[in-house]
Amino acid sequence: MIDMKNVTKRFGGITAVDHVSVAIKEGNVFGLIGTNGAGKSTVLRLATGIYRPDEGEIYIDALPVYDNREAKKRFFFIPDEPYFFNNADAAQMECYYARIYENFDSGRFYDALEKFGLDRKRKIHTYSKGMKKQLALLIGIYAGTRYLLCDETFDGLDPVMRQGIKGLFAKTMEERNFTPVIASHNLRELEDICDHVGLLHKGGVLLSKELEDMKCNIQKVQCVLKDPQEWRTALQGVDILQEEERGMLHTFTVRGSREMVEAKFGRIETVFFEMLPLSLEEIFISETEVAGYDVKKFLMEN
Amino acid sequence: MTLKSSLWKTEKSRGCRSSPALFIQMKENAKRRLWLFALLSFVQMLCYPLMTALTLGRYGREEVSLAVWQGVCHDILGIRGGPTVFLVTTGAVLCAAEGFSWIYSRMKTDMYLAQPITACRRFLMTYINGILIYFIPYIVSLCIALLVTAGAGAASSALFVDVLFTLVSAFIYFLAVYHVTLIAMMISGRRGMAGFFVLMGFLYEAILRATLESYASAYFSTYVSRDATERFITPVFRMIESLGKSTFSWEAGKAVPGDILEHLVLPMLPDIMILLVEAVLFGVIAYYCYKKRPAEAISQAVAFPSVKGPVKVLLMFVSGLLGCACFCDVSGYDGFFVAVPGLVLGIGFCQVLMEIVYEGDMRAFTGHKRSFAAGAAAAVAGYLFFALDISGYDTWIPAPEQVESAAIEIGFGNNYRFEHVDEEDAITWNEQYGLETMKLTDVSGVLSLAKDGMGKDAREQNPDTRLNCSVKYRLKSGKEKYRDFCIDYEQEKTVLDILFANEEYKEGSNQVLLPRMDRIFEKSRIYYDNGMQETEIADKNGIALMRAYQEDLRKMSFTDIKEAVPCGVLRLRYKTERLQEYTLEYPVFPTYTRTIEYLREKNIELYLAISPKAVESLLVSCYQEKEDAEVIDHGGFFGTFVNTMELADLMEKEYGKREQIEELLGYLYPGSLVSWCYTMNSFDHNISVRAEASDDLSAYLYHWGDTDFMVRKGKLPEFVKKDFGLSGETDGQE
Repeated sequence: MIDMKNVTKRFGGITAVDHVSVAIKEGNVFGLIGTNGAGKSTVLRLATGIYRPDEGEIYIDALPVYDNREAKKRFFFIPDEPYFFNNADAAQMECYYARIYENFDSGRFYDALEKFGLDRKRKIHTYSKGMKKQLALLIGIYAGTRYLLCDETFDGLDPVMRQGIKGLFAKTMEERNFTPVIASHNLRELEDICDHVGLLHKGGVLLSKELEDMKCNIQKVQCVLKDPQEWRTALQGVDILQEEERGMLHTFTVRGSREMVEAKFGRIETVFFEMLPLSLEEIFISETEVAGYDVKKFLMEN
Repeated sequence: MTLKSSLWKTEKSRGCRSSPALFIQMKENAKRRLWLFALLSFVQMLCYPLMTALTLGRYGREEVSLAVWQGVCHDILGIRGGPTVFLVTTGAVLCAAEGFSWIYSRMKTDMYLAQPITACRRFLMTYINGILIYFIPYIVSLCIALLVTAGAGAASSALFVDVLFTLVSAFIYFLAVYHVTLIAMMISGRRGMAGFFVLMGFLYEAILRATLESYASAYFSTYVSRDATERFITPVFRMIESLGKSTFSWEAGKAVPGDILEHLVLPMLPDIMILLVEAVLFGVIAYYCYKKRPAEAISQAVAFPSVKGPVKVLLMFVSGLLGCACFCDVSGYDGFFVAVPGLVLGIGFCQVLMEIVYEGDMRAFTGHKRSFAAGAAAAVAGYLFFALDISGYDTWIPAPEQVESAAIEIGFGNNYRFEHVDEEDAITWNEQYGLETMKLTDVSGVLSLAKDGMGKDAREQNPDTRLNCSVKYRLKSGKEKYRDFCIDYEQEKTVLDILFANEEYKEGSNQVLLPRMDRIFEKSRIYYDNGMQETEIADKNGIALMRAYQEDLRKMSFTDIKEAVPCGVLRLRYKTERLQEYTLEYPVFPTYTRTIEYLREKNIELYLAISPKAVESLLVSCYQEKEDAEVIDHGGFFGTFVNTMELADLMEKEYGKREQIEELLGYLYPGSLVSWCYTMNSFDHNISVRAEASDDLSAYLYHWGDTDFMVRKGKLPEFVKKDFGLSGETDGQE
């Protein structure tokens, strides 16, 4: 388990991560989502021991991570811009990493290279951005570590490759104890991959939950009300995160279980009532709006 | 797990590549640094084996002995020689910069710092590789170069010892420079700033010392630059300084290992040892900074914010003083109203520059007011320290009870006194010899002269009777202090006579009086030169003559010689064991009665006597200064120089009549002897006479063509005075 306890990181006068506590359990695909400047990359760099926290503690499998070789053996980090040596090819990078990570699976790495159509002898600097990310992911997966921490790694991958990588994740998780942690803006992609989501906002964690729990705990309701004024009193006590009105059609984003929401809305007379599935993006927008980050306003102003 | 087992743990999972872990990591690291290895190998092969081969290839083609080419090999391969120190300095900077440049790249830090390698291990492998990248090709090049010398028959045990010592000192020096570069890199966040800090590490001390020295020279009239010869702390200048201490000279002939030990190793060893201590200390600091350096420092100017302030204060101190010095130097005036604007400009410039560099923002130039205030205060305090002589430097005279011994060097202008015979009987020029060897226990005379001379403006003293004095006080506290001042010898006659009578002064200022000179006297051929004609003293009994000379010198008082002109010079020619020829010269004054008696016994012609028949004509030149002579006196902060330009008319007249030549010859004094006088006040420096020699004159001449003569003040035949419109006393000839 990657356990961050009350971690704070400041850069000069800016608090990039503010008393963050996250527990990333093994066997999940953990998605770290957040607004721009929320501190996703900083959290990953703290988790990988690149940065030393100003406050708080970070443990990987109960080992403190900063400058701890044993802890660092347990993860592989793919930054937003992975670095490859000048003029190196995939085989040379394999050779390098194989000497660093004891459990590096070279055979399967080369198999995967072939499957993904990456030439092992081609200079990496001639690869496209997406190909470089694929290579970084393959190295990360076959490094044999328990955790794979990826920062914006799926950006730039085409859908086919994305599916391929997802498949690899799934297969690896089946075979061994493997926990990918993915930080991204691309919520649609994370939605497909992640089991657990941590939502960062302004340096703090807004929520950290199982995706299913999160989806179950936030509901989107579309309805046409008979009496448009009635719902305010009838829905008192319901945690409405968002409310939108388009003509007669009302859309509510409500915190609570499906049953509870259905029961509450059952008290109101409706012409039309429907519970819609909530996308991760909608959850993200709702939660950040509650925290004072009005995405729509932001979009309109710009 | 022990350190050993940790460093040499085998890689279990890759049986085919089973090797020690640190070694594997070093190999991986080295792979990415091959270009530097190749570059350094190429340069070192060029500078050592190839250069040696080309040099030795000249032997046989040119008429120079093999010993000379062996000497040149010392220059190529030894630490004193051309390429070594430059290559080591450049190599150390390159190896450090190349090895640790990853700390400036976010992509690389993300990659390296997340890997399961401890910071210590990563430092170690990069650090060791940096050293090996320089020293493997260096050692190989030296070995090949030594083989080349052996092949050419020029190898010697001395060369081997020299190369061995060079290798050890180069290693220590490399470490010192390497570590300074590492410190600079660790405290900076960007490559440009690292370069700036490296330069600062190498040059700041030298610039600071030069600035303080220029201020001391400008504001302290008694300042002696010897005060600034304290050892440098930073490695580059300490090494350069150390090289200057070596007295090894291959020109003396084929060297033996003992020569290297005595003249190279021993003089340099203390500095090399200090460099070693510095290297260790800087290494510890570099590693500490590396460990503490935050990864987020990338793209910031300085990795440790606490460094910004002190660096700015240090730079502002020098910048303020230099600004002030520039203004004063350009304006030629060092008063308050010129100095202050310069000071303000220097301080302001540094503030603006450093803040823009630190913050990367033009608008940030007013930031960090506390460090600005501290830097400005330091610069102002520095200026006031010198301008107001807060330390009382110019008026400081030690209490007699504080002084253990003193030495004084009086600048009589007769520079032969700076020639000294060293342990190997070679003559060296050493202006410090008197000050370093003289130990006057009775310091009353020196203190009396200092009391009268210090604090007086030399320009206001009579130039005809002014003498420059340098004094060294050895204090009981162990400190040594130097001061320069001017005295008026007419006013100080009594003190100077007492000083001249002091045996410690005599022996300290005249090496010829020391017993060790006997071996020179014994092996010398001694000549007497009366200014035109040199005669060998026939019996070669150098000891007897020189004993007489020593006796005369011991009896000599200042009053005797203050305006005396020598009648001739004793010239001692000898060879050292290395068959090098040297010549020592000692003036003979009319008061040296025993010497003169000895010379007369040998029928030596004491005084110049030129037959008028040997002279075709005499050309008298007279420089007549204009009353409105323009004098530009420019004393500056940067290299104090005085450029005096006097407008003068040159008048010349040739005298060819026999009676005129006969009379004029009686007034002439050989120009070659003038420099032996204690004071220059006896001659009229505006008048010179050149003899056009007939063939007979050539027989008299010691130096062909040396036919310039001087005349004593006011002593000229009436017809010459009339021709040149001169007035004054008309003494008869000497």
